[in-house]
Amino acid sequence: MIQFFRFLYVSLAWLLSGAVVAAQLEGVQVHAFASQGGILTSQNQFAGSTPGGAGFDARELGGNVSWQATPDWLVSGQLVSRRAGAMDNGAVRLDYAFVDHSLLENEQRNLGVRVGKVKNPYGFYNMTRDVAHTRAGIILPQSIYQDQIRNFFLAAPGVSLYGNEERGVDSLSWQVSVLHPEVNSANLTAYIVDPQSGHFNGRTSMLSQLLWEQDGGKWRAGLSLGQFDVHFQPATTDFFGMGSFAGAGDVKLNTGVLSLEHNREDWSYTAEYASTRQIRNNFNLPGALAIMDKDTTIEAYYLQSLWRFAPRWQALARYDALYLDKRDRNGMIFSAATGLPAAQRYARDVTVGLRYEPTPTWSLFAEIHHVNGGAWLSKLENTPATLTSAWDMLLLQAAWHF
Amino acid sequence: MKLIHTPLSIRPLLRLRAILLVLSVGCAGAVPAVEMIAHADVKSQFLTLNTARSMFGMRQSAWPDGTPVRVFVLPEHYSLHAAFCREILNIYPYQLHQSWNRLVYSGTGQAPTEVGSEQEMVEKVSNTPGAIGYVNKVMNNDPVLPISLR
Repeated sequence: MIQFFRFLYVSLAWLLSGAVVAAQLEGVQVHAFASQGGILTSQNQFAGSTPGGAGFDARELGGNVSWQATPDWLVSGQLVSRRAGAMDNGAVRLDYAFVDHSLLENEQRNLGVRVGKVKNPYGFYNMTRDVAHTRAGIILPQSIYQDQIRNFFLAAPGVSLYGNEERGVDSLSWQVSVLHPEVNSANLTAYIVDPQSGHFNGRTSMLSQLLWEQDGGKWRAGLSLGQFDVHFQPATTDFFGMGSFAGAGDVKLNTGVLSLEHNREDWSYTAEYASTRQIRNNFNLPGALAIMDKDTTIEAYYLQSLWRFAPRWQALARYDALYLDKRDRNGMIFSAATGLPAAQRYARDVTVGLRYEPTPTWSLFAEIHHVNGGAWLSKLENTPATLTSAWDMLLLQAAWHF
Repeated sequence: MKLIHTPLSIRPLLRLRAILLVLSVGCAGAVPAVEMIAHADVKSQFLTLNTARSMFGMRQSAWPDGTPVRVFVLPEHYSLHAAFCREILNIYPYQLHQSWNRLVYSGTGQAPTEVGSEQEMVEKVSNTPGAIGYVNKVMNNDPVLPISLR
């Protein structure tokens, strides 16, 4: 709570100073967003819910300032605080801060460079995933946009080259980033090496995206490709106090997302498919633990439909699937080797939801999830041994932005 | 033979349909006409559809002569705004707003300036160098440049 008020104070001070500057400087804009959610789960825990109980520990707050100094120069920065049970504690963090310089711009194409902490283009939603109004539902499809490792994937310091090419009524945009992932978070540690003590260091990584829009976006298609390298250095005594990891190790994530969307007046259809090859080196886990350390291909996809059935109203239906090991989709091999529930290795989520916009700045959401498996549930909130395979979740959210 | 007679019970429904048809034609006729306008000093009287989409999508920040583009729009729920998206840009209003949100909350661009009325639109566009916007109909004494698609 103290952090919440601290964030409120910092962001208000920031917005006020931004507004003061805005009054004096041409080309300055200030925007902000906030959301509060309520979550009820039948079993398992998600973002602060308790099994069979409701949680109100899901909150997002953010504000940004941008300054278009000249048509060629743009400076922008955003602060975000996010509370999500044990996954996120509400601490204020710098979401992005960069300088954007346009190198070339004419009617056919543009080319530019961004330097600083830049948002990672990954699939359709990653760049603005913290802003409720930009999401199709309360939570994004967790198969591809897992909230437990979001901070690692969201943005990173680096350099991005980007461009846009106009062809007839179609456009092709692209971005290539060389970045240094920010990886030292408890969520990532739990995700990759279970709750061992130690720390991660990011190594120079690459991310690129190609996005094609037909006739103003009636069809959109994208390909995102990334190679993330991180290094894990175990503490001298780990979680069990006996050094489960024989040594430091590297994890390389080679990941790709194929995205496709069709937009009509009342309907939007979206599908994304992601494949992530996880390559681990030098951990050398002994005996049965070796299975927790083998290279795997993570497979994720979802199909989503949005129906704008009345002015200000929108309905959502989605099927979302995640398999942590494409060759062991039902988790049986993993379960036989470790004695842990197979449900830890897969998740299939059927979602239906509603959205109502009473005003252009406010949105109210409600959605129901019926899930089989717990692959995208955080180990910081759920003890793997007690994971329940079939569970349901009700989420409610109010969101505001300007 | 009975089948080709219209049952009495649905005749009121047919009348209702006829009334609705007349009303919908009336509504279609009421869809506001819309014209693009720019500041009088802007030199491009014609824009391609893609350039207009890029400017209103906040992706093109300067006119060919280097003057910064300043985009003015009416609020989302105004019928003139919806007509502009559909008739001129040939996109759905929700798509335009989604693309602004993607720029604004990723830091890669800015939102257009919203005005409260058509009258304010004409004032802002006529007083701001590099401005582009839209109105229902350009009046002879409006100090703005009408812009057409080519």
